[in-house]
Amino acid sequence: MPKSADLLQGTLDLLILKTLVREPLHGWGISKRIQELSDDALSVQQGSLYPALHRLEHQGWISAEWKDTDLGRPAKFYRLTRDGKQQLERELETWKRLSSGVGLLLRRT
Amino acid sequence: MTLGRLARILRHRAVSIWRPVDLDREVSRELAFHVEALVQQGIAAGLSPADARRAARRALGNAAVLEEECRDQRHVRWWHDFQQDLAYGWRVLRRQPAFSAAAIASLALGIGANAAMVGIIDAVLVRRLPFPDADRLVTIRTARPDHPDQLSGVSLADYLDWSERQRSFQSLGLSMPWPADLGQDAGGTPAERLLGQTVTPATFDTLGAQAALGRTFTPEEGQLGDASRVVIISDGLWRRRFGGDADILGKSILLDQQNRLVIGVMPATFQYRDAHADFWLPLIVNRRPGQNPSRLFGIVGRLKPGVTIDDARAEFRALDAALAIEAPERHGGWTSQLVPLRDAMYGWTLKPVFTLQVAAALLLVLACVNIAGLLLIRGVARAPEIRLRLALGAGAGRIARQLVAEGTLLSAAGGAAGVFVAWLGLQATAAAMTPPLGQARVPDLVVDFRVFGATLLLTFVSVLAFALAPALRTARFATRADRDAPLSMPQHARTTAWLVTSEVALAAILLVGAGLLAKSFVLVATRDLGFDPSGLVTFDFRASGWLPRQIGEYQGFQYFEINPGPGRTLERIFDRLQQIHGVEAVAGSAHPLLDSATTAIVPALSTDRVDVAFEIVTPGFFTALRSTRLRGRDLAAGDRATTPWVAVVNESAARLIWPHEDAIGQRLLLDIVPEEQPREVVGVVADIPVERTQQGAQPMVYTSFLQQPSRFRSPWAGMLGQMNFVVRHAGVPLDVVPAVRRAVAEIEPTRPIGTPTAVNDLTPLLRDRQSYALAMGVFAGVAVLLAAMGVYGVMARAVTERTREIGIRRALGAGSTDVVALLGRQMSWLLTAGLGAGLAIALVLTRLIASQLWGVSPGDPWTYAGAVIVLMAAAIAAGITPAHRALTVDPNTALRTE
Repeated sequence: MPKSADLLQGTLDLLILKTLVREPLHGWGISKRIQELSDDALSVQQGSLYPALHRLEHQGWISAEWKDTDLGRPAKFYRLTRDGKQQLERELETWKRLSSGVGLLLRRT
Repeated sequence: MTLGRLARILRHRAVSIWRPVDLDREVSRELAFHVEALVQQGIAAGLSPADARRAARRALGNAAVLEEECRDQRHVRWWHDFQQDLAYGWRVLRRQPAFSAAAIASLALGIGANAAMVGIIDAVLVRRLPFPDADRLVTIRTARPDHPDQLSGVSLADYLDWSERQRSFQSLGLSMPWPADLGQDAGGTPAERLLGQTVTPATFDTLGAQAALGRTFTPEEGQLGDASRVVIISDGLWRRRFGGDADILGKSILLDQQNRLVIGVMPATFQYRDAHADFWLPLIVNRRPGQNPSRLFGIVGRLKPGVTIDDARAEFRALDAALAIEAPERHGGWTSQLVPLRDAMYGWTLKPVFTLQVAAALLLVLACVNIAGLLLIRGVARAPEIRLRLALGAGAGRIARQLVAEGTLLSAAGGAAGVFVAWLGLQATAAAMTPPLGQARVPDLVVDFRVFGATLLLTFVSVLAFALAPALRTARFATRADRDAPLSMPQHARTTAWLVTSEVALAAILLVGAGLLAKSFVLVATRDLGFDPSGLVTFDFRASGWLPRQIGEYQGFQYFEINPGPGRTLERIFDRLQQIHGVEAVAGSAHPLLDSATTAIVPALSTDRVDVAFEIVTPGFFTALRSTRLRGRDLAAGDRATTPWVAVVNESAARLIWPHEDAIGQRLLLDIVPEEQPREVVGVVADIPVERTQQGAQPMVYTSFLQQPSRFRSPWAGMLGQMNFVVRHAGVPLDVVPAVRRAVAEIEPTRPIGTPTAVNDLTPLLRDRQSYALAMGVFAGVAVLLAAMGVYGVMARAVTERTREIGIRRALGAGSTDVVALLGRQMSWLLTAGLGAGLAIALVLTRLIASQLWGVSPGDPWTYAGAVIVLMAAAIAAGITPAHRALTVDPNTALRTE
C-alpha cells in the first residue's frame, strides 16, 4: 500500500461528510471512497475512522441504518442528515479559507 | 441548533445511558464487517484466506481499544463511571457499617437540625402574615426613655392625639385584651372563661381582615361601643361551642351576663396580637377630660403608600417631643416605639430561634469536620488499595471521583435521614412553642419543599466540604513521584489533629451554651419562691355582678362605687372551700400566683412617696402558703373595714420604705382613693415573685380583701371582684378539683371557675424554657459524641502507627504507665488546644444569649468547668480502647512486623 499523507486534524470530519453527499455508505465504503477519490493520496486508518463516525452520529450530523450488502452480511450505512448538510457547508467554507490562506503564505515566502 | 438535531442527539444519549449493551454489540458487528471486507480484499489480491485474515487483524489493531474509543464518543462515560463508583462505594461503605452509621447519623442530625431551623425561620420571619400588604402594618407601643426595652401599651390620650396629628399612616386601629365569661347555654354546656379583645372598627380595616362569615364592625357600632351589643367570634369558638352552625349570624350569645348579637365569624387564619382571642367587642373612644391614662391599649397602623417605617419613626419622634411640651401630664416621660407587626407578633421567638440556628450550624460544621477526619484517616488506611488501582492504570482524577461518589452516597443517605429528623424537630417545636399569654401563635410548621430544598443544598455543600478535600488530598499523595513512600506523613497527621482539635472546640461551645440554658432552667424551676408550692392547686374565679358603677373621676381616673355583692360571694366561697374534706388550707389573691402579667403599681405614702405593687389577698394568706419567713402576724379574718386598717409588706418593701427601722408598727397610706385609710404594718414576709421568671426584687404591699374602701378607681377596681384561689390538699393536688367545682357551684351556679392547675406544675409556664434547654442539650450531646469519635479515630491511628515504637519501648523496659503517658501526651495536646479555643469562643458567643439566661452570667465558671469535665471524660472514654490495644502490644510481634 502506498504511503499516504497523515490527515490534518479536523479534516477527517469534512472528508466523511463530503463522501456521504452522494449516497449512504458503510465505514469500509467510506474509507475506500476517500482512498479512490484522492488517487490513493489519502488513507484513513480504521482506528480514527470509526470513533469519528460515532462522534458525528452522536452530534446528529449523520444518521445510521443497518442494510444488506453484496458481501452477504448486513453493514451499518451512514447517511447525511439535513443538519449534516449545513454543517458540511460551514466546514467547506472554513476549509477554503484555511487552504487559500496557507496557499497565499506558501506563494509569498 | 435545530430541533431535529436536538431530538437526534437526545435519543442517542438516552440509548447510550439506558441500553449501552445494544450499542456495544453494534460496534462489534460494525468492526467485524470491516474485518470481513479487508479479508475479502486480501483474498482478491491473491493472499491465502489465513494470511488475509491475519493481515486484516493487524490492520485493524487492538479491537478492544477501538471499541472503547467509539464508546467514548457517546459523552456519557462519566455516567457509567459514576454508576460504577456508586456501586463500588456502596460495597465499601457496607464493609464498614460502624463508620457508615456514625457518619450518616451525624450528618442526619446536622442537616435535619438545620432544615428544621430553616422551617421555623421561614414560618416566623419570611412567610407573609395573613393580611394584604402586611409589610406596611406597624404596631405602636410606648417606653420610658431610660428603659427602651420594656415596652408598654399606649394610652387613650396617645391614640387620640396621634390620630389627630400623624400623617404617616392611612389608618390606625386600637385594641385591648378583654376577658369575659361565656354563659351556660340551653343545651347544658357549662359556662367558660374566654379571652377576647375590644377593638375599634378601624382595626379590622387597617389589618385588611374580612370576616369569613357575616361582617366586621361598622363605625356606628364603634360610636356606641359596648352598648351596641354586637360581637364577632373566632373560628375556633364557632366550631368548638356552636358546632360550626351556619346560621350563627343573628343569634345571641351570653357574654358577661349580656346578650350579644353575633354579626361575624373570623377566618381560622386570623390572629392579631393574641393567639388565644376568641371574640371581639367594639371599642368606643371619645376624648374626655382626665382620661384614663393606663397604657393598656395596642395600636396597629397601616403606612401610606411610599412612607417607610423610618419616615414614620421620625414623625413620631417629633410628635413625642411636641406632645411632651404641650401636655406633659399625658405624654411626659414616654416615647413611641414603632415595630413592624411581624416582629411584634413573632418577636418572642426570635432569640431562641437565632440561638438554636447558630447551634445547628455549629453542629453541622462539626459533623462535616468529623466525617472529613474519618475519611482522611480512612484514606490513609486505603492507601495500598489506591496505589494498586493507580498501578493498574486508573487516573488520579478517576480515584478522586471515586471518593467523591462515596461522599455523595453518605450525604444522600444523611440528607434523606435528615429530612426525617427535620420533620421530627418541627413536630417537637410546634408542640413546644406555646406562645406566652397575649402573644401570637406560630403558624403551622411543616416540612415543605423549601425546607427540603434547603436540606438538599446543605447535603451537597457538605459533600464538597467533606468528600472533595480529603479525596484531593489522597489523590495528591497517591500521585507523588515517590509512590512507595509511606502515605502517613507528619503533615497528614497534623491535619487530622487540627480537625479533631476543632471538633473539641465546637463541642465545647455547644456544651457551654447548653449548660448555661440548662442551668437557667433549673434555677428558675427550683428558685426560692418564698413559700411552699407543694400540694397547691390554683384556679381563678370572678363573681357575678362585679362590674362596678362609675360615679365620677378621681385624679383623672374613672371612679367606681364598688358593688358589695361580689365581695360577699368571694367570702362565702373562701369559707366553703375550707370545709372540703382533705383541704388543709385555702388562700386567694386578686392576681394569679406566680403568673401575673400585670401588677398594680400604686404610690404609697409613709415618710416618702414611693411606688409599690399592691395585692389584695385573703386573710391567712401567708400561713396557708407556708411563707418561708413571716415576722409579725398574718392578715386575720378579724381585720375588717371597721377595725384598724392593716397591711403586710414583703422584705423588699420593708427595705425600700424603712431602710433603717423595723417596718412592723409603721404606718403607710396607699394613695389610690380618698376612702383608703392609713394602714399599720403588722407583718413582713419573704418576697414572693409575681412571675416565676421575675428577676430582681418587687416591693409589695398586701392587704385583706375584707378591708377595702367601698369606692375604687380604675383600672384596679376589677381586683375587688376576682380571686385566684389557692387550695392546699393532702393527696394528689388535682384530685381536689371535682370537690372544688361542686363547692363553688353551690354558691355561684352560673359562674365558671378558670382551669385549675397545680402550682408545682411547671409545664405551662416554663415549657418553652424547658424545651429550649432540652434542644440545646441534644445538640451538645451529639456534639460530644462526635468529638469523642474524632478523638477515638486519632488515638486508634496513633497506636497503629506507633506499634513498633511502643514495642521497642516495652522491650527496653517501659511499663504500662509509660505507654499510657505516651498516648496521654498526644491526647492532652488535642484537648488543651480544643478546649482553650472552644471556651474562649464560647465566652464571646454566650454574651449574645445573656438575655435568655436566668440567674446565671454568660461567663459562669461552674458551667465552663462542667463543659471541660464532660469533654475530658468523653475523650478519656474514647481513648480507653486504643490505650488498651497499646498495652497489649507484644514487643516480639511488634518488632518482627515490617
